[in-house]
Amino acid sequence: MVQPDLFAATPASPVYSVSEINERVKRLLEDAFGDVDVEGEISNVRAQASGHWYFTLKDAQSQLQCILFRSDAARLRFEPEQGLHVRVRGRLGLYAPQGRYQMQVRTLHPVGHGALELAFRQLKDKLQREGLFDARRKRSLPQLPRRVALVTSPTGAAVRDLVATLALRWPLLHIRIVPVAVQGESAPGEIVRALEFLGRNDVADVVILARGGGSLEDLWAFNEERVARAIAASRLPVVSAVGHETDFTIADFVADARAATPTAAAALVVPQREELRRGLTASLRRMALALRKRSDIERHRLQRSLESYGFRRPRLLIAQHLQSLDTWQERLQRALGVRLQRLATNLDAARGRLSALSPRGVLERGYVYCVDSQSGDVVTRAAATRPRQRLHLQFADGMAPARIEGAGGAGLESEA
Amino acid sequence: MSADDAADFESAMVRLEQIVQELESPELALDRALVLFEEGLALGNRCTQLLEQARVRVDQLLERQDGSAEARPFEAPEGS
Repeated sequence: MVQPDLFAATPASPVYSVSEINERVKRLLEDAFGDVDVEGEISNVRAQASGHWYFTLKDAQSQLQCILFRSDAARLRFEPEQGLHVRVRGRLGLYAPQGRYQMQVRTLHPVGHGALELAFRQLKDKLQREGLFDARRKRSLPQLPRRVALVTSPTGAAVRDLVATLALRWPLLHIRIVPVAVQGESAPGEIVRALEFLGRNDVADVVILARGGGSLEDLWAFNEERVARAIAASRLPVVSAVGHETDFTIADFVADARAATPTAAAALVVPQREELRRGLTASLRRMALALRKRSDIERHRLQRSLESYGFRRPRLLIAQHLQSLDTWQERLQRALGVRLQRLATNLDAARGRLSALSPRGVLERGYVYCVDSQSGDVVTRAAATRPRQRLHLQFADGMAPARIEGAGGAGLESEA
Repeated sequence: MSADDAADFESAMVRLEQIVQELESPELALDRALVLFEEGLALGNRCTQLLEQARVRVDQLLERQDGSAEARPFEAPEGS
């Protein structure tokens, strides 16, 4: 009698290898479900160096292992993060090396808010942590730029508004348009490239990155990480003028200055022509005031000289000063024109006071002074005279020649 | 507006500020003050003239194959 082989396989219960059974289960899972949507909360997120993401989707009772391959992850605008409530779509499968079933996620949507809002918040938080928005990173804008680069669409309303406003404010400006797409697939790359291009070439002093208003989707290029990084790395200061007052983009946070509208950007970048004109007038006024003050000092000095009577200062010098004051008055009056007319009137008054103090006024009262005919020096002491010294006596109406009789100063001294 | 005019304006403004400051210094000789004043007035006139006459210049920058810049005339879009 042949003993039945207890271990022999019966047709009803085949024996599989591990690989075989996993393969069977895998096929079952795939066939039974196809594409499925699952909603849950993300936990245990791990990003691999390979670019693949692993995470667990869970609810109160249960967990599901998920994998997001790099190619799918690249299409996401945000990153899977801990605690995020999401709906995922993908296929169920089995990971044979570990005998574990998992979901291969192809798309992932946040539940409760939009993917773009989420991406915006995530990038904002990330760059903020890196310090890209720090005030001390921000460069100051040039005081008076000669060349402004407009990185924007060459056909949009923004470029038109900017050119018009800049031209009106500051006509000495050279506006240089760097045309880029401001929405759509190619926009971020073109903006980055434009900023790098401007950094390499000495063609502008400041950049305005501009776009008119639009939906969050329309403005998306300005919320891209590489655009933000290109702004941060820009050699030239960047002013962002994207969207309307209420639209904030990442570009706005990282730019050196943010303007609510293109018109406001123009105002940030160049001064108003009128401001400069006022500045000019102020400078001219300061000049005139300084000169007036200077003339007051001069007048006081002359006054002191005259009050000391003896005309110790050589007459010629005093005359010279008075003359230069006169010359100055003339030139000043000629130059000042209408704008500084009031000042000129004041100077006239000063001039009137000055002439009252002139040596001539003193001479009219009967005084005379004498000058050595040879040297031209004013002779102020009798003791300084010599016998037969030739002098000129200055009267109010002119000079008269004279000569010292007798011993002059020497005789005077011996008598004393 | 030519680049030279903008440079002109800037250097005139800088010089004017120097002149004002020098004029305000109490040690300045009168002769020197007069010379400076004249120069300042001339600069002021020049700046005003530049501001009055200036017309903004607009062009378009394109990137050449080698990464350098090429300036082209800018055709204003419709409606501007």
